Amino acid sequence: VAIRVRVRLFAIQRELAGTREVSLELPDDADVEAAWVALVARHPVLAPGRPSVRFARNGEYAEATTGLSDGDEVAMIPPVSGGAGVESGARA
Amino acid sequence: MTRDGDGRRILQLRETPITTTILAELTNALAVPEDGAVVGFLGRTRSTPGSPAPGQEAEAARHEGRAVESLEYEAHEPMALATLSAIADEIQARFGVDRVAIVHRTGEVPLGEVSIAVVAVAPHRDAAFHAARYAIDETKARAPIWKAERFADGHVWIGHQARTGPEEGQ
Repeated sequence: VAIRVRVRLFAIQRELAGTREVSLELPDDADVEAAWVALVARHPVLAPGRPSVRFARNGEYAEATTGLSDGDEVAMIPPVSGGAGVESGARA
Repeated sequence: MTRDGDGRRILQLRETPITTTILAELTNALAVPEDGAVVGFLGRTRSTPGSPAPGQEAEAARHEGRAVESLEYEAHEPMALATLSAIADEIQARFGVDRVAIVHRTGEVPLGEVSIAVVAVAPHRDAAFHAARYAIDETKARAPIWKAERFADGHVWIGHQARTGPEEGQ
């Protein structure tokens, strides 16, 4: 049994992969990490971004271990404009 | 201006220019007779580069010493609006302030224009200052909104890993 999920890419990851959206077929016990692994298999250029990416499932931040269902949207969230940088208190 | 159901929050992403008069517009839209304090913040697009996102260091070095020509903002819009709504809920719970506006520009923004406006309105100034500071800091740390600095011959994505919720212990 397989599920199909829609992966959305933004900003630097959208540019690196050359697409805004990827449709993936995954095992029915797949989690967010499995979607990342399948995405990177198709677009290896994204692999180095793993340490700074966050994940969202259906519009909410999710963990790598969050389970997926058929029809889910998984958004890959590369570093955001402010982010949680150590110097964030001093930036405009 | 769009508002949510209780009529006291203005949370918006827009592609059209934001001018400094937005502080007056948001104040007039939010304030009630009991409000003695208004704190506003405007973020502007600037010519000096920020911190490149991880992986963008080499591209940033290629443009070192040059002025930024414009900024480009991209958002996951429904998720960004949901994040702003969560931040407004937290402001109400933490500071008792329920009249807040956060308006963020998307698309290409020329230098010197307003990229984000925050207004917090409350009976007293302490709460209004706390609310406005929390609104801008949390929006920048958590909302799925991306920024690229455009140069004459390329661009650099800016920022840090997103924070996925309020900081522990706050």
